[in-house]
Amino acid sequence: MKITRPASAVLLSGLGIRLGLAPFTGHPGDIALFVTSQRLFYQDGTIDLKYFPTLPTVYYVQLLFYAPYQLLRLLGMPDFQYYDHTAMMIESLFLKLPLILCDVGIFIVLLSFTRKLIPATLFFLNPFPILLSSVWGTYDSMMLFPLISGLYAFATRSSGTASTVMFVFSGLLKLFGFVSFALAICDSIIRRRFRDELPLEVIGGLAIVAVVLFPVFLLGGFSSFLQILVYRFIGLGSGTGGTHYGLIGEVLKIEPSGILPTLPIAIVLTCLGYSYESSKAKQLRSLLLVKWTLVAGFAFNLFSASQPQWLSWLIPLGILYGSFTGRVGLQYFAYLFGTLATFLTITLLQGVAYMLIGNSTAFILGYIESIPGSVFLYAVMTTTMIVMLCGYSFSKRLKSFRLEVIPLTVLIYLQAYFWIVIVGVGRFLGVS
Amino acid sequence: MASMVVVLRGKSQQNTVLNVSNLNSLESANYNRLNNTIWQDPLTDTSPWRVGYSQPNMTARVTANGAIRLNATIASEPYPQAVNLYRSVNFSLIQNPVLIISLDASVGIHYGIRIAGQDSSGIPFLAWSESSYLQHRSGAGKIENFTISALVEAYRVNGLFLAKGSGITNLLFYIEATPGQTGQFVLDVNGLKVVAQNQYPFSPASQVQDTMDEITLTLNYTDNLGFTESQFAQGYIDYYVKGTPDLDYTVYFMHGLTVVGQGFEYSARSLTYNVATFSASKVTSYPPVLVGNNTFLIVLSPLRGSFLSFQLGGFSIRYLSQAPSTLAPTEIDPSFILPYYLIFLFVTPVAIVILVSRLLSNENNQTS
Repeated sequence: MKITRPASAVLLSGLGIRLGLAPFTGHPGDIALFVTSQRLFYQDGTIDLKYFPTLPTVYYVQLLFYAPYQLLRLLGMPDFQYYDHTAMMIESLFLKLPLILCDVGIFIVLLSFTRKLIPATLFFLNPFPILLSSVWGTYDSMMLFPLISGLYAFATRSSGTASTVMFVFSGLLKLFGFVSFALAICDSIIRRRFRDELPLEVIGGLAIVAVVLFPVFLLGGFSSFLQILVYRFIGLGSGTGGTHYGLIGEVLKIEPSGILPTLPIAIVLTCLGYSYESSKAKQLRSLLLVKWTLVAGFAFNLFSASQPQWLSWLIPLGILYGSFTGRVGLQYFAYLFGTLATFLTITLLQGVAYMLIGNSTAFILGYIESIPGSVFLYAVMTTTMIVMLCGYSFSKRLKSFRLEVIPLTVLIYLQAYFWIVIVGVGRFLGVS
Repeated sequence: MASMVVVLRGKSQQNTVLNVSNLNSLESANYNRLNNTIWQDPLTDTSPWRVGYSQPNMTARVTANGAIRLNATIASEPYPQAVNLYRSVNFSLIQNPVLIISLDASVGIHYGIRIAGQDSSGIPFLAWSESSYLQHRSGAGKIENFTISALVEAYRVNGLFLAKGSGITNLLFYIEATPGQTGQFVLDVNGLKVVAQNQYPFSPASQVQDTMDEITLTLNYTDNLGFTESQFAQGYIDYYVKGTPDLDYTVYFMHGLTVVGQGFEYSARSLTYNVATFSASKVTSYPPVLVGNNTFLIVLSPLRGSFLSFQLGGFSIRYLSQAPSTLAPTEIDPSFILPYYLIFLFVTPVAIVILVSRLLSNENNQTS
């Protein structure tokens, strides 16, 4: 598709913002994990698949994008240390490059999918995706790009195979992508494609997973992979500790070693809900797939230890669903949701200085960070925002966006701040 | 790009990362058992024990019958009250003594354990602090077991490992009531002994089965790059483990007597494969049983229970030229970097979105 001049302007400004932030910022803990694996590969040849802390596909992609940086270094390019960051400046940029390019990819797919610039802009210039890809350096956009592309392929192609392949790739970058894969399988079952699509999707999906995991198996990391990712995902991890960022886990004090046991149930219910609605409703299948992937996103965020970056899944899915259903309010609220999620994440969970200078002990904005009950305040605020986003997604009364919602959310934050930080209601409930 | 990955693998000079993972760098593997009793109170005689009161009008009775029982009657008063039960002991810190205490305090009362001693010059020192987990505990109404390293407790308070000639001279239990609390409360000391550890070597690659109170893996590697403890970034260890039903344990990475990294808490009721990670930011405690000299150690240490079997899979200790910092930074001037950050992250994107929305407002009107 042709990119218009306004779209080019948005694209360039979004890219400029990301490239302007990437070298100077980073999540020191996460970046340290990634940079260690890359340096080990390029400096002493170690293939770090045994202990790589997430799915191997992320490692493969990082290897590809780190190679040009390594070449430039070998050719004598200097690099610089910025405050306490665990990666050097240009190195950090190269590590974040695939994430930034995936943001660009999502922008283009949304543009093609909706044929409108505003929905794509509301994603691409949303502070939360900017924070995750160019400041934090976490890889959620790498999962979202094939996911949104898969939804696009599902809507535009007669065969579901191409979309299924993309969903599998998405799941191999972050397990949430497999939810859409499961929904696509359900779709093939409902349409009784037992002879052509279904076997191709299942066998093809399993084959891709096997190929991606084979090097892990070869290097003796398969048990680690099962332990770190799969068992933990289904709630069988033996480790305890860490933090709940979701309200349910925080209040019920369920160990955050993995997900809450409620999540597998929520996934099964999502599949059943999709299957039921798909077999009964007259709506487009592609719209239903977007809707139920969004529902799964809500379930993951509400019924698990819910990492803060998971909130980003709701933004493009919400914008896409809003665009399909004419819910302008949902699209704009998804933007507000991302802006507030950014503010809450950098002030309440890490502190502004953590990702800015790489050190959590320096606090720049003392009144809104480093405060008692910060995680509880974060959990209350994000849950409230998710519930509001649910309202904008499914309530018939909330189709348009009113500017009054912005001061309303600020008032909710101030109220929550008063009760949790100043009065300290969290202490009565026994939460942090 | 894929060909660049293959060609450039291992080509760069190694100067910003160090990985110690080779099993050849494992010098020895040992497990410790706390089965070498140095001293034990049979708890059949009350004469070594003394009782002290925070207020002169309080009453308490001590009996001994294989367990020392402190039975205190607390009258309601507008201030906190405490009854102490204490005795003198004498064991040297050089033996790295570990106290194994079993006790039972009534529900509703608070209690604590305090240890004190004298250094080589005869100057008294405390081996307890108000913030210790051994203080102001709520009575559970059931038997609780404690494994307490006197050396570690003294280190926690004094910030140094006391030299030769220092010893523990006093052991005190107390129960305490809050203002207005009234009733009869009991503290039973059911077991009290001091043990030293016995160390047993084992082959880490094969499964070892025994009751183990601590597992230590001693590393011996040469670091030509000169990385320091502050550059330790992350560690991993994978293993098969099984423990007693109450086993909860954590992993420490130590250099000599310094805890460089610590992991989460894990459990292993049945034979379990586990990958434990440890990092500097998670360091919150000290292994209850002290080990080591000036070596690098990976220590698996129970918080409760014991290990019953263990087999090492592998490990990886990683250093970075700039590891995640846990120290306070030097003074920074946020006057430039903070506005830069906020303008790029919030102001510019929001301004462009408002502009685009205004310019393309008809796009939305078409939709709705």
